Amino acid sequence: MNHSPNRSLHMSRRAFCGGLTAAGVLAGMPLSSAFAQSYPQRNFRVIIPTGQGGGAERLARAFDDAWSKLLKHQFEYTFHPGAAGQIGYELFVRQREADGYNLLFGNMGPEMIMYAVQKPNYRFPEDFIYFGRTDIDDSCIFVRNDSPYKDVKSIVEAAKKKPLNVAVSRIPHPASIGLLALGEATGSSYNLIPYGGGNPTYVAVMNGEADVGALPITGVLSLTSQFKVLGVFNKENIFAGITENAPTINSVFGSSIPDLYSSRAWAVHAKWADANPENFAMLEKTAEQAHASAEFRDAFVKTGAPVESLKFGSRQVCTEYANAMVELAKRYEPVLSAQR
Amino acid sequence: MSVDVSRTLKQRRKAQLGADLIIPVLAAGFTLYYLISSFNLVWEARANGTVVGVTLLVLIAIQVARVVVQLRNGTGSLGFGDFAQWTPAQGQRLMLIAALIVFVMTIPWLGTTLGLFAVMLAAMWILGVRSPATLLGVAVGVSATVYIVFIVLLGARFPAGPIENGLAPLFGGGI
Amino acid sequence: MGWDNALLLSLITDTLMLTWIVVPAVLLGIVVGAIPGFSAQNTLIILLPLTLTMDINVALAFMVSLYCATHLGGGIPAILVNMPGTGGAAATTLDGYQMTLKGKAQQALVLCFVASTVGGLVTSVATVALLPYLAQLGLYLRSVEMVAVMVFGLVLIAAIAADDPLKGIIAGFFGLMIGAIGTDHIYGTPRAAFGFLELYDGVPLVPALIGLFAISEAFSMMERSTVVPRSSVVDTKAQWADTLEGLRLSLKYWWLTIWTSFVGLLIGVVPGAGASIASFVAYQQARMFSKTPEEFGKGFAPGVVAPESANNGVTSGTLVPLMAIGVPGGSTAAVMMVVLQYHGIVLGPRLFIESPDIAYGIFFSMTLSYIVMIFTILPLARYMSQVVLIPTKILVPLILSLTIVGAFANREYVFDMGLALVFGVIGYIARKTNYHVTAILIGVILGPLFEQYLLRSLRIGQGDLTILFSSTTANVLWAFVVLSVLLPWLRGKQQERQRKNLQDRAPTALTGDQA
Repeated sequence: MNHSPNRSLHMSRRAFCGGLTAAGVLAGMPLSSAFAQSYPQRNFRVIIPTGQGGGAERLARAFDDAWSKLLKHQFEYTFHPGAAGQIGYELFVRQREADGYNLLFGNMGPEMIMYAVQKPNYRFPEDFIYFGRTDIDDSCIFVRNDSPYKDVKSIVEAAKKKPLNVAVSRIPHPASIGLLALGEATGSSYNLIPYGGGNPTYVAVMNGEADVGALPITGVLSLTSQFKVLGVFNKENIFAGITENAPTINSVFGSSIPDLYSSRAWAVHAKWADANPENFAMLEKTAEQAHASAEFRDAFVKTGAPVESLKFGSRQVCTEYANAMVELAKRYEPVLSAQR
Repeated sequence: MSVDVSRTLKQRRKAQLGADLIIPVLAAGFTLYYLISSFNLVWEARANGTVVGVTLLVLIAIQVARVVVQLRNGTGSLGFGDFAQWTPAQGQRLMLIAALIVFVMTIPWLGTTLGLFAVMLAAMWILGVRSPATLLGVAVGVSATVYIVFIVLLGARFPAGPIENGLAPLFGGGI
Repeated sequence: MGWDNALLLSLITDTLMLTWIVVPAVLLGIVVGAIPGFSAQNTLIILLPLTLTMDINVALAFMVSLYCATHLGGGIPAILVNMPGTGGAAATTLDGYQMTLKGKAQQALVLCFVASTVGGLVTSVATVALLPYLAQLGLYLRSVEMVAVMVFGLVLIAAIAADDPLKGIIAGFFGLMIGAIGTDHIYGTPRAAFGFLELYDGVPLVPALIGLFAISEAFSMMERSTVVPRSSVVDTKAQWADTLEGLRLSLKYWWLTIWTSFVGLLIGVVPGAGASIASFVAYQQARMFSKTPEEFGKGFAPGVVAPESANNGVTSGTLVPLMAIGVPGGSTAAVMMVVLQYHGIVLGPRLFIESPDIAYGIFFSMTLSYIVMIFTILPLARYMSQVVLIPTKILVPLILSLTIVGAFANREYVFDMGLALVFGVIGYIARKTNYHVTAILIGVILGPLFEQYLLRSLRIGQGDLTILFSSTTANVLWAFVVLSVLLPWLRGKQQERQRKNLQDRAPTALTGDQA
């Protein structure tokens, strides 16, 4: 395959500029230099199962700044949002060749919950595996800066009297499960309103349509001029310094809600990874190197997100987390699904 | 004069009644499928479809009733009007649809450029163009323009076939 | 706001320095806008590797200019061949194509160009001046208010199908039903998708648009030798005169242009709403306030001005939430956000203090792009209008093959090409049997949004239906909805009365009119 999309990408970029001035530029493009290694030899095609402009894209692009240099090839993204990520995954498993050049960059938490609830046609970990986890993004409860709710206790008190409207990204989401678990633990009740993504959820809390929001924390922290984090669903709040020491939910209520966080990771076809262990090992190793690089961290900070959330995870870590999410979703399945 | 006009109108309507029911039948069939297939979902997932669907069925029932009344009055028939008539244009239309179906089915193999060239050629032939210069000129022009502007310059990921892949080392594009 | 003359001057000079990138972006935008399937959003995604390497000001000027130009470009095929290039131009077909059939293609094009550019220009300038207020306004239009806005659009279904209301409403509800395909908005469970993965996210707008308008029109068009009989174009030989007449008409409807552009601006500010809705709502409003609503749909100039002005009004509105609160208002704005963040620009209120050159610069670039647009496009109207004289045996294959390829471009599914063909056949049958295709399309566009806002409102109300009437803004909008239903009806009654009076005076003259 000597017609790598890498070249086509550069080509189209140059040719575009050139085409505007002179068609002659098209001729005589230098071919790429020969590659020393057998894999990878061309660009990677990445499916993102959420919309463009979202957290996944931001993170993936920041990550590939470093990773593409190590792999010496570019990443090309296509976005397939819809059905809580199911479309992107189905497409990846059913229609993308298992050749190690087709990857997926997903949000394991909500997408494994969707997997458990919707029971799609693909199987984890038989059809695809996660590797190269990039971050741990704790679910949090947040309000507007001028909200009457000053702490998470006042929220629970209000929710004991009357179901409290909470804006969430999706019903099958770790943050939503957090609210349901909080309700169980404290006898309070929450009316979850899904907005289909982080961005519209922020707007709903900003404009007062919902009293409270529950989302992964890093996006909320990039909008600190508008929002205040009141509580975190994890053992510790690693962002205590920038969230006015917002407590963990379990510490306030003495509850034992499991750690609920979103984690984004790369995914590849299991068949390819198992058949090409060396290539997969190289992919995983370079992902870890990219994760540790200053280049990735700088690019990540530029997006306004806090660097503390970056935590690398191997295939094994990812598989354990994904399976734990499936188990959790099964516990709450009746409230997470539209099926009667 | 006005009597003539109304008679012509009646005749036209008479010929169209069966055809008038194609869309309602399609709509009713789809609505029933929707209502049955979403029956097992919680109310929020099917509320909108149910309200819209039931209203649509009522509207369709009124339309059918209107047709029945016209049939009884003898002012209409269940004919399909233009749809059932085998005019040259109708034949061309069906051939065009067939050509387009073949185009869509073969584009993953032929690729965009070759597929476009073939379908342009076929469609123009179906519509009566016989001049080889026009056939080839337009078909080559269109497919080359799409290839250069969209595949090479913009880098759009259209289905790639022998042409895209063959020219990729020179111009980019292809997969 | 920290305005001072030095800042203003530097913004103006900086913007003028960007003309070199604005011109090609405008030209490219017009081309991709005119081809159904290509949109600003997918073109910008394709070109992202290019824009990411550009200097941020250049990248923004490029993206904004391309985006605005697509909204203008979309109107061109809508007018000439009844084939909207973008969803925002679907409403333009209603009167634009009728003007073409009357041999007034050039006038319609000029109306479209002037309305688009003036509407876009006015709203981009207004946005710079009113930005803080507009950002606030976005927060007032919540789910409940948006239900009322959606109903405005739905009311149009009944209005445009005045010849046979029952068929029109059946078509509209059929569209709504098609719009209800896909995952539900609360749990994400697929409904009525026929097992097709490609339909899980709902029926995609582009194949529906292409099928219902372009393909079905091509199937009808092939029975004629040219789009417009040559005889009816003969009297429009004096080409420049037609351009001038278009300009004269544009001047005549200057006020309509301005207020409908603000309809677009306001709808654009609301995250999630977009040009398709804005143009239909603007058309409906223009019709409602018109002294001659019965002229709409018959090739009436305001029917071109209103949607075109509104869909360009959306362009500045959609950037407001992105710049002012850091949340993209639409998919094109989302792509722009990626570029901004890639360059480390922190969006939100602070942006206007920390980088006013970028925050305001984007709207200045937009203003420049509209100025460039009017000068590049206006002289071309005369030549573009000649498209209607291309023999259909060449034009029909061109439309069919290019639009089917366009159906692929948006989501890169071959399935969408087949879907466009299915909609083409449905559209053709609907056209032939007088089920309004625009009514079906309005249903397909508004159905999912209406459902989403309604269900969300009902959830917020926790089962209480009065939530829909719980805010002042919503109630004002509902009052307008009622007005838009009643006003044409009352006006119809009045006209009927007047006609009766006339009939009483001259009983023989108007007998045929009632049929």
